[in-house]
Amino acid sequence: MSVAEITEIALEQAPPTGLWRDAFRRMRRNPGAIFGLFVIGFFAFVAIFAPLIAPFDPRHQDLSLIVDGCCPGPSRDHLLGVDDLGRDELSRLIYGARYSLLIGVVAVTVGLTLGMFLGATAGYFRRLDGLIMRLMDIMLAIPGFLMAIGIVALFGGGGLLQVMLAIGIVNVPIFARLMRGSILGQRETDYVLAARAIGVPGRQILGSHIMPNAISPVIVAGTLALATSIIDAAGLGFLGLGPQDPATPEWGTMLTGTVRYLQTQPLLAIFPGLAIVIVVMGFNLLGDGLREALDPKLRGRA
Amino acid sequence: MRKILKAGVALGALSLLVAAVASGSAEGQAQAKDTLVFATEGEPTFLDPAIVSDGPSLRVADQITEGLVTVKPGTTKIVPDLATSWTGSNGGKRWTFKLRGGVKFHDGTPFNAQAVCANFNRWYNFPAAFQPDSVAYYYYTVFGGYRKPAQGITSDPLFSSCQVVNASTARINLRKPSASFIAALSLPSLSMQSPTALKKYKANAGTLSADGVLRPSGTYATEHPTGTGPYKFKSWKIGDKLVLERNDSYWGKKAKLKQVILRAIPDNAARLQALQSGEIDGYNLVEPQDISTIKRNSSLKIIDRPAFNVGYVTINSAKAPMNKLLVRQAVAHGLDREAVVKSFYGGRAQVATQFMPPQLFGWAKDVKKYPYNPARSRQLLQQAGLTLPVEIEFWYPTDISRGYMPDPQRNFQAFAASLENSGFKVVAKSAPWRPDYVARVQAGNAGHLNLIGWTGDFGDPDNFIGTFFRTPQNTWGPINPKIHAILNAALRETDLEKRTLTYQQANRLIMANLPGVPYVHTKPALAFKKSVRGYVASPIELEPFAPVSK
Repeated sequence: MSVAEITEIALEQAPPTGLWRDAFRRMRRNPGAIFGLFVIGFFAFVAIFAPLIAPFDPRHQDLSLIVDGCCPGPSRDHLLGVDDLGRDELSRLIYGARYSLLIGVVAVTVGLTLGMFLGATAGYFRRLDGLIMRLMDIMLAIPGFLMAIGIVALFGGGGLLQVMLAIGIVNVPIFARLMRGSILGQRETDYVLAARAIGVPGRQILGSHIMPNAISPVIVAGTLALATSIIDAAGLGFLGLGPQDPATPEWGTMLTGTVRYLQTQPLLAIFPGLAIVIVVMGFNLLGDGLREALDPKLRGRA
Repeated sequence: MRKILKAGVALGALSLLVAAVASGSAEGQAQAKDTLVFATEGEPTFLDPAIVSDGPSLRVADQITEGLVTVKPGTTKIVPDLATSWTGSNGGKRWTFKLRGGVKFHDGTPFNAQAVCANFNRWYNFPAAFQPDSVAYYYYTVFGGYRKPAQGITSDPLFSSCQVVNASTARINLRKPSASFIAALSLPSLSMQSPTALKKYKANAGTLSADGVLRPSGTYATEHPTGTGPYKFKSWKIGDKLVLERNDSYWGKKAKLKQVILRAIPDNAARLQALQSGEIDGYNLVEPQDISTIKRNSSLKIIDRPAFNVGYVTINSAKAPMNKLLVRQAVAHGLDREAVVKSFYGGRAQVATQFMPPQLFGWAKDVKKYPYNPARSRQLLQQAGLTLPVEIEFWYPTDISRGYMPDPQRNFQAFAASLENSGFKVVAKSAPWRPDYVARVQAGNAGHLNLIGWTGDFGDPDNFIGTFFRTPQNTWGPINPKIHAILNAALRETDLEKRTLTYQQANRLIMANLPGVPYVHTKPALAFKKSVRGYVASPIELEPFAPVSK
């Protein structure tokens, strides 16, 4: 980049803007990202206000609604029909949003925190690099979902907390690698050398100088990981490793119960499936939008 | 990187699936005429019938081994099998069996009086690990005790000795008269197995885990079951299939089909799909909601099984506060049995008022009934001095489907909800049927309440309430000893009219004491391809595949 170009950009964009404000401005012009944000916003809204929106209690059974051993489809009272125990499907989906979002956010937070810590340590304190990264390689060598099942079993069988921890741990090596790569790119830059030269302690250089500059790819990966986490959680729920109370309106768990009625009432499987697809798509669109917005190569364009 | 990995995994899985489908159909064509592929609801536990009590295991035993007596197909009437005739003497304490000649076990060992005594003595001398009712269930419930009773086995043995009169005559001496003894010998668990094979493959060695599950150390129960039946064991791969082969030197009418393959498909929908796709020829336990689908399909048919079962919730009185009658009554009033039976069984079931079906003699009309009444439940709990809600553990099995509970989890959820309306707080627990759930319940290591049920094995009330309550069992914890006494009296009674009255009295006593809550009798259904002929559904699920053709 020549001096002339820098002057040009600076002139165009005065006053100078921060990384995040800049990114947000670019993202606003990306229809996909806006749509993703909208979808996520919608699901978050539904999850938070579930008790106000849902027409029924998601655990309330009305066995008298069941006809011929299974479940009548949509009707005026029950817009998406009822499940095999006469519970309102719509209300269960609405409450299910809570579980899916909670699992996604907690799992990614766990993965992100541990991953970033390990990655940053490996990237900055080079002596630990070999040890930490080989450990991460070992974890990456095991298929993610399989490892999640193993971890759930290790934590004493199924359960909401176990699922969140398992998915979080599976995500650790991904974040650790990204963080390390990003740190490696920063640690030899001039401003770091300068900081080191004036005697700033290593921990502070890492925390206050390198981190803020190295974090953006990790944030993008985190958003995308939210999507895969929700899928993995639904998968674990489907296998019966999710919340142990079968009445829990978790989307994956809801899907498990419907397999038996695929031939009689396929809608029971379709609705939770659609919910999972839409929310995952939302996170993917948002993640892609963020990546484009934060990519330094695209900065100044758009 | 991760995406590529995922795509790779997906691709791998897909190609496996394609391969499986392809090989499945190829196999399907190859086995067309002389093989029956039957899907059962679960994997067998073990293949040694003496140490199992679950349907999938006993179904295998029905084909491989035979008892001294059996039942007439489709009924509960006792007819000769390996014994051609028998006589009782000494007031019903000495039984002499004339044995069928020229019969050989699959390994070539001749069947004779020595073999009969070897089997009886084997059961009587079972080591401690085999004795609990979670293992040698049927022997224990019919014969009560062992030569060297293990800790916890308190009842007296019924069996005294077995005498070889001559090669074709065996005599069984009992310590007291028993009226249900002969009928009980039709149980697959009391069938005759080759003494040579039992010894060679160490059928009597094994250890008991802390929660009452037997782990045999020999290979008899998993690889070498040996009987005299029309089919012999070929192979068993857990998770895949169990293969039986025609016994060409069978003493009676030989089996029509060369091979029978039993596949465990615990998932109901998957069983239906397998039948629709032609992968299997038939399956047990059709779900109520699938019956109309099958009836509409012109190449499939439904076979009704006569109702002979009871689904119930056990109450473990060893766990406080279930020792209080008021709390047990609250449980009974808190289970919405009417709604469950009406909604989940597609009109093929009735609410059970006691622990045996109404077709059987001894059923009592005037037992105490406990209609669903949440307010009454809460009141009873408060009377018992408890603070609401009362927290209880409620267990249900997974990976299993039974006529009396096509979908255990669904029954559980409905009951859990109705109990929560009735002042209880339900903690949900589950375990896979094989091999943990049943053993845990029978060892008393499951919850306050447990979902389970029973399909009758022979047409005698002793096989229902006698099996459950004649001897003290960990399933229920301590129960009113009068119940044990009256059922023992009924067992000794040889006059049918007096027996009937005694059993009615027992049923009234049981339902007043509430060791558990029975809730359903169902008429289960089987589904077959129309081309399958000769399958006779038995009320007690004793269904030899020998007469089946296609």
